[in-house]
Amino acid sequence: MKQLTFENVHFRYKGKKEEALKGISFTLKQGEKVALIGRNGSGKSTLILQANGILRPQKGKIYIDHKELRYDHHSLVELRRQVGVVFQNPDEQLFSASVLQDLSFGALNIGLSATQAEQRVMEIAELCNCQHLLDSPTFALSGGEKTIIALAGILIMQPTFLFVDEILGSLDVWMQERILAIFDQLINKGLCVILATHDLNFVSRWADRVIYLQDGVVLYQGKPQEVFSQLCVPDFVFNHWKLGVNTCG
Amino acid sequence: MRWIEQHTYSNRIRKLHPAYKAGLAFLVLIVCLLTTNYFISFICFVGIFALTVIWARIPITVFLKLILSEGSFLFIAILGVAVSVTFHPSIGAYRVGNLWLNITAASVNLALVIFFRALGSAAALNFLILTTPVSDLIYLARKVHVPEFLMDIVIIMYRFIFVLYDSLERMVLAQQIRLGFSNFKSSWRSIANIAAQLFIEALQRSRRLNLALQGRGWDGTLKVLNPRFEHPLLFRLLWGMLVK
Repeated sequence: MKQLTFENVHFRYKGKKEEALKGISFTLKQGEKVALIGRNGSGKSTLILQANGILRPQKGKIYIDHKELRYDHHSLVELRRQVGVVFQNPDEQLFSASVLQDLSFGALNIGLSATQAEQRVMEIAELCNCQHLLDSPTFALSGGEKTIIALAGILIMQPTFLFVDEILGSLDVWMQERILAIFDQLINKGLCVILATHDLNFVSRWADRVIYLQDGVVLYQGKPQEVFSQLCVPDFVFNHWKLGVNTCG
Repeated sequence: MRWIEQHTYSNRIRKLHPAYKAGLAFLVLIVCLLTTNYFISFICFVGIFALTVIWARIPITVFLKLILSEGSFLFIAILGVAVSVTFHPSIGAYRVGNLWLNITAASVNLALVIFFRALGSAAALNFLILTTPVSDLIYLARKVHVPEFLMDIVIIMYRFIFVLYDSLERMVLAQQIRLGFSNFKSSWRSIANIAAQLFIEALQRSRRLNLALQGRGWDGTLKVLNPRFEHPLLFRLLWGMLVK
């Protein structure tokens, strides 16, 4: 079973006094459903960029399958094949004029031939139920369709760990269900989904494990009920859902 | 721009190999540019108009809307060729106040040649624009060995036109609900604010797009699958040389 391990990772953005990540440590395993929660600016997005090798830890180490991450070209290609990231705004992820071309980008980048890439595009389009969009221009897609295509563009690389940065919040419930159904199918096959979100109700229903970040530190991690019992959450969050969590009015 | 793109993706010859369409458009363009007979240019214009409307099934209104917007600029430009303004009288000149407007048979003929030459050329390019998606044109440009980095810039710029246009629409709306654009002065202030914000947003978005591309294994070249095209036998015979 593959693992992604953060070990005492520190990171500070240029020109900032305070570190964005201050000694982050945790391990992710294949087939897990993990929710990454925390207030705005707590370091969730920075952590996601570290996992994908876009940012590098200034102190500490990241291991994938017990091997330390390296940042040469070959290692990064291998890393991005295994760790996918779906960003919050699909408009910032889709670059090509047509959906088919956009989907094929990741597949060709990991070294598949044109024939293999085309086959992979068809498989992913079927999984995401977006075959009818393949010939469409990206500008004509709805918000939900763009999100699905952005997700499919990452899934085409068949990652083992998928970081998803707050994409559900802007979608209608039907589109959310569609995306969660895709996740469920892939989690059963061994994908680990790490979902950054602010929706605590959703987290309580969905996640196997919660990682709570505060000011660049993993303050709590564990099962949703365990973590929520430690948190001070405004009571309206759990108004319709009684878990006996610690609310603070 | 979106209304053009909608027809680009839904016309009847959308799937035809772009080399055929580009070949036809450039052939007409070259004829129009080389000929000094405005009747030939006019025939080219009518031919392209018929192909666009009948063959590609682009609505007449769409073609006319596009050609009229270009033609209006053209009409203003050729007025200067057909009519010359002087302070001195000459044979056949018309007096307007202290000025004399000279219109000669030669200047009218030259104006007509330029007008129909430009109109035929514009129609040929409109045919290409209305029937061929940008992704197909990029494919074609790659086939004729236009440098990769240029094509990558075109791809990103094309995508950003729509992304930034969406942002622009939201910003205009945000200004309007706060009484921006309510009078001349506030309109200028709103335009200045939007221009500044749009510039910053373009920079931020390009930075985030860069991150997203890196996350998908980008190695400096935007590698994508080529679209599939139709190759009717007649076109293969006519322009087989153009297509690999």
